[in-house]
Amino acid sequence: MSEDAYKKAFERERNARKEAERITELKSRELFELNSALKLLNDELELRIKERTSELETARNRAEANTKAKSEFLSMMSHEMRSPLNVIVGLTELLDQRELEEPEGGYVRNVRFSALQLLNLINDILDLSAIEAGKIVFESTPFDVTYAVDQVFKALEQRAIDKGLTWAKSVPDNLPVPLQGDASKLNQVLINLLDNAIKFTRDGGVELSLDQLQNRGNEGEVWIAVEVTDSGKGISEENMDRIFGKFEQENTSTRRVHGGSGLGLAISKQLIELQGGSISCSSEVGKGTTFRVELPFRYEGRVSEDVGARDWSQVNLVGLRLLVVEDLEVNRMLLRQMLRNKGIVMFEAENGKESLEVLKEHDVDLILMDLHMPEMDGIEATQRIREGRVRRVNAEIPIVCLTADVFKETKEAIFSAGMNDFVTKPLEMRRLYQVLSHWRKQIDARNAALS
Amino acid sequence: MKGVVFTEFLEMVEQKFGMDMVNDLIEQNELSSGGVYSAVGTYHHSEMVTLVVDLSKRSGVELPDLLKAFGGYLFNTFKSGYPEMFASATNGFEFLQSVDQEIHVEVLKLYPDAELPSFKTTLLEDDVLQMDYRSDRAMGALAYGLIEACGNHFSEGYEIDDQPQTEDGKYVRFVITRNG
Repeated sequence: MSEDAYKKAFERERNARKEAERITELKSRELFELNSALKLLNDELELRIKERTSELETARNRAEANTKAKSEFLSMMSHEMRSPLNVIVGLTELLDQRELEEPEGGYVRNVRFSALQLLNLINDILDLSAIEAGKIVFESTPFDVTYAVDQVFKALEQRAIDKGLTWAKSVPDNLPVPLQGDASKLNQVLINLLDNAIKFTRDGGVELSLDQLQNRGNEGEVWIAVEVTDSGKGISEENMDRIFGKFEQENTSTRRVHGGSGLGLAISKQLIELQGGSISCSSEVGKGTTFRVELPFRYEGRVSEDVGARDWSQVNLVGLRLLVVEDLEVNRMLLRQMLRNKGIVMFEAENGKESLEVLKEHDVDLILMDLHMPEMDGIEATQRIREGRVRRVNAEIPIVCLTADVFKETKEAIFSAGMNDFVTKPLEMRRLYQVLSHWRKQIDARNAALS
Repeated sequence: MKGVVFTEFLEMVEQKFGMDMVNDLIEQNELSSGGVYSAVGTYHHSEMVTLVVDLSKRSGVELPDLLKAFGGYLFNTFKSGYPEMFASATNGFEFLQSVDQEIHVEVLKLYPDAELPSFKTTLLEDDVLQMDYRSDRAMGALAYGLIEACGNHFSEGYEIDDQPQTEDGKYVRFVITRNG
């Protein structure tokens, strides 16, 4: 190639390069502008997101505050309702034990059952708010499971009979006794299942069966299975998944026909599962339904003879000097009724301050102390006693708390104040006697050691 | 037409016919670009027509054969410059089917004003692929060269039957039979 040709070729190459550079410059500028526009868009979007998030946060906070307020209101109302109900439940239980003639006996049982239903509804509401707040605490006290199941069975019997249904149970006589667990929660679940069974069955009947699951659980664990079978309308397959949901009933017409809050199964499921158990359902439309509950209990051998006894009226409490500290007269009356004819020497005080006065005047073996009282509450009174500042009183005197709520914080407060035990309201005679006899034995043992 | 076609073409000419030929082609023809081509630029496709026609006259090689050879050369350029184009194809037919569906789509994203030929494909049988070339530039022979080079790259023996559908050459149907 000639020099001229090379020169021309070189020129072309250089020009081509320059053009490529120009194009590159153009593209760079375009890129910059697009980037700037993008950034602007981004910033705007972010701003909008921040605004929206803040709006949502405000809305959420408001909704949460709303829910909390409703929950607290519900809780407070329920507590208020429990006091009078407590009285109705207690007195009808006493009446029931007098073996009245018919029809009075039937009337009493019905009243008792309705009161229990009402109580359960209130408990449902409280339970649900407690579960939602993560506050449920389960008791672990020894009780006779067979006896407890039997009681529930008897309580609902009249209703089944009134509806013309058969009411049968199949219960073994060799379940280990006592088992440690939460009797009232078990009661709650059983009532829910039995009540539903009656509700949804028109002809035929209901059967309750109880059994121990062999080869299940660790050392010291006893698993119990309870089944409630009815010959009712059954549950369709589509609805199976929904029955354990909150406020669910099979459909709205069911609620109109059968009533109920719709909370029962949802709560039962939570209560069972939170204790490590399981609840399941099998059903055939038109044939019937079976609910099965499997629940673990602890078994540590017989704790004391009294705990195993099924007939609480035989417990020996003669000579026990008991101080009852409770601000509501009606509750003191209830306790008086429940504990009469047992030879108990009973003292009463209306509040913590008064109780200290009584203690200065009289020798007392055991104190039943309510929590919430005017002037001085149960916690403060207990603290005073434990500090040894009350003349004549042994600072270690057993103090059992009477309390309506079972929240964790309450339990912690009770025990850190120095109380020894607690009984929940509404008072059940069986539990009351169990606690009294337990502490009676402790006191006797200590007295024997001192003499 | 994208500058890359021109720059590759001139490089091929330089390789096969020498620098003098390149100079002649450029200087002896009226090219509005003045023969100054950069790969990222865009130039009128009539310039390419002028160049190949003149090359055919000067070299004595028939125009279709020249374009076919260029097709092969171009294929190699694509191979080394854009290896990602070949990443997903496991055989020649898969690659040919991806030209319209994937490769040209990506090119248009970066160069929205690019004028690209369309290659609609239909698999007639397992080993027979129909490819319809449509373009205003009417360079079916270039397409042929590319298809041939594709077959070689994937080591598939191709029998390419080109069936012009219009007289102006702007629509050619290729039926490619694959043997082993």
